[in-house]
Amino acid sequence: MSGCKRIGLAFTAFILMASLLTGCWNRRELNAISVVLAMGIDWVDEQYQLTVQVSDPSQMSINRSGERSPAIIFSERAPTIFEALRKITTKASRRMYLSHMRIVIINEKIAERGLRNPLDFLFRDHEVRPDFFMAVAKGCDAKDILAFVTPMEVLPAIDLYKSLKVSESSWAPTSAVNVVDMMQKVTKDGIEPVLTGITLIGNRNKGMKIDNVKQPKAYAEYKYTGIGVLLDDRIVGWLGESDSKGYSYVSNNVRSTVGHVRCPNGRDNFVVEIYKSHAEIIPSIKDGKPHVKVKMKSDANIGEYHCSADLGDEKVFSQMQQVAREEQRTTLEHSIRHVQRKYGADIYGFGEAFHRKYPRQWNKWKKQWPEIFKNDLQVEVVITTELHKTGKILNTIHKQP
Amino acid sequence: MDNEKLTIRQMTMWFILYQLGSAFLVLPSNLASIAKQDAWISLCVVLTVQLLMIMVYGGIAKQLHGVPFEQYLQTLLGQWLGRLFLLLFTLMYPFLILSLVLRDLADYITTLILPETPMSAIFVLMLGVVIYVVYCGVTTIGRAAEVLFFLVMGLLALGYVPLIPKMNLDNLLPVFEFGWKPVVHASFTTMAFPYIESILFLYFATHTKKPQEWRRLVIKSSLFSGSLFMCVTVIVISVLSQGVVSTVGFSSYFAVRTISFSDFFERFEIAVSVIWFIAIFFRMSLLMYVSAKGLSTVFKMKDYRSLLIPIGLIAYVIAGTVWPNTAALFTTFRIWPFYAMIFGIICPILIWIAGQIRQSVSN
Amino acid sequence: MDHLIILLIFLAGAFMEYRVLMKKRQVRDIVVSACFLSVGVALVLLRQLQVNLPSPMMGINVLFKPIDLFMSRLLK
Repeated sequence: MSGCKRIGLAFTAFILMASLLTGCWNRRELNAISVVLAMGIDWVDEQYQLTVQVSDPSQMSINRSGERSPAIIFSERAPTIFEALRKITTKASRRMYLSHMRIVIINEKIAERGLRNPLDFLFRDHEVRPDFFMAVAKGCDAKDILAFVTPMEVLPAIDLYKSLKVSESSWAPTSAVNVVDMMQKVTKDGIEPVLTGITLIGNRNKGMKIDNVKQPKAYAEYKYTGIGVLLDDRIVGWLGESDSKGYSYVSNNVRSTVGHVRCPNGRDNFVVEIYKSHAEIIPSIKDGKPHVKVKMKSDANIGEYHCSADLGDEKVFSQMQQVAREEQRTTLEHSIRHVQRKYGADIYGFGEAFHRKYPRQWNKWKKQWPEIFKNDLQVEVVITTELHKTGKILNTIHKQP
Repeated sequence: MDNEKLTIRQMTMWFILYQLGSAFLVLPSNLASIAKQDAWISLCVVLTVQLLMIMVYGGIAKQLHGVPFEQYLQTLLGQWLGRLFLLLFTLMYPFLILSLVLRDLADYITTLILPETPMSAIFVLMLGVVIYVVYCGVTTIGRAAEVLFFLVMGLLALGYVPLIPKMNLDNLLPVFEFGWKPVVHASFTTMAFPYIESILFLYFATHTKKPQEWRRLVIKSSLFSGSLFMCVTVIVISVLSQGVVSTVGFSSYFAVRTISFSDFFERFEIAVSVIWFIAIFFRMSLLMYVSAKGLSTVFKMKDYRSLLIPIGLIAYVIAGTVWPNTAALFTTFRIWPFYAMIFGIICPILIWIAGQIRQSVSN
Repeated sequence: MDHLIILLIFLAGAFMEYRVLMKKRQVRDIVVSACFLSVGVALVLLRQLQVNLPSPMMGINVLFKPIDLFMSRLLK
């Protein structure tokens, strides 16, 4: 082959390869898509109302004008979620790109009717990644939460996401529910899913304007409150702060948390800061009835101390430890009993523990587990918490005698 | 034709990549939908059966005495019967699998990555590459296998090692919840593809100096790919739990999608799916080589290379019509193992028995 | 339309192949290869004309369904 022909062939080959590598059939140009950061689902007039919060790319660059908001909200109504998403293109100049979604907020009404159908699209679509959080909007529309201007981060969805993540690791009553957890718990029959709740506090209308962040005190703020108990895929109730804490302890979601304990002799409190916690669920069958022992071991420090007893005394220290243990035990027991009696939804996974250890017995109990959980299950809580350090100072500073 | 020799290392790597092919992506879902959390035990059953079958294949390899497998069939069954058998075998087994594998790849791409691309485009691109590489010869494919093997292993590690901290071994309990029957039932699909297709490795039995070497490398590659499958299945089921794995179609891909460390080490599942493209490439090249070689021996052609383009064209059409929708796909998946067992289990045993008879008669 | 473009690509490749074969005068190869190629071309043209080609899997499914039922019941 002559040199010229060879070069010509090589050139053609390169051009062909380069043109095939661009993948142009299914191309999505960057300036034709809008990255959706958060999605909100409401139920209005017997239809789904889908709200998406997208980021405005020009506002994320250095030459941003302070006049425009960095995030934009689009909202549409349709009988199904997929239709609503496509319908949004009648209002937006770009197509919605769902792969970078951070959080999905669902209206309380939908959560009470059942979550399986609205979430079907999110499980089915290929663009959606399974790494977003879910929350239920209480006392307000999901649209309001997405339209809200947040104090810390430029993009509200990122603020919600980060806050949930941080809160989950430092405050036990919050539980960040990932969509994969949700899928797992819905498909297993021995454990029921939970969802975290979010609400808006303050002057909502002013919260949606940029005035919200123009001064140190925001007019309105969002707040993650408590854990919602689901039975199958429906919300049946909400847990208070202390019960949510109990839930987090038992399901090993606690990475670090803080709680106050009443001093043994006095009206003041001291604070226990837990930095390590592990709960073990031990199922057993006594007299044909299910019995569960929850063994919890935590390591904690004293974070704040308002009592008068001298912490340098070993007896006092072990007394504090005993009181802390009692407090934890009551929290857990109350939480479990409350969920048992009131909702009959096994959010702690006791059923799954039986499934793993006594599969044959579980096969018989499977269908009626909510009733068995409500009436027959006996729970025993054993706590072995240890208090270790007290921070920089030992006792509260006072005048030296 | 003399430069068409493969070294043992190249063959082992090619066979491992071949077996990693179609099954890797759909395997955990398939197994878990029948065997639930005991899916990884099914793989032990599969490997046992595979080792037994390798004994049979090794027996056939010993009977070959250096004659290539296609021609051996003629000496065994006589000229006309042997060629007829080879023709039917080639048209009904490797050629059909070629179309199925091609269609599987296109299904995967159009479901998860490029939904609006027509399948014809994917067919043409893949067929073009495969035809070209088989045209260049077996040595080329062997060398490509050597190079790409490490890339595939690296990507597998990159995709699945980060999932290990998220493993929840409780998801694998209780073991044998429904007994051994679902475990055996689930093992059928994995046996059907890729393991029973090891009969096609017999076409390469003459590339080694001794048949024992060939048998050893087939055992090595089967065990290696089997343990890879087991690791991946255990990791995927323990991260996602069997309910999710049986529901989600492509669960190994889905599991990699859930990796997220410190908000920066995340969302690289496409890099991991390159594994699958490479494995399918090697699978298709082996199938195409085997089909072309078989057909060229049937028609006493000098060179198999001229058949590649016609085979590619017919495979392109068949791949387009193989199943019209996902429901037909499921039916096919369930029935395929029994069809494959005819070619992968019954045929080798018959050939081996015929070879033994012939040997004892000629002695 | 797209099937025809693909057919042209394949035919171009086949043409280049036949040139090499003609030079080497391997008649048998050309004949066999041309037979298969004509089958392929016919199939593509049928596909282009929207004729519903039967899939081989349908035949296999019908034949092997009883075995599948038998096995499922056996291993329930």
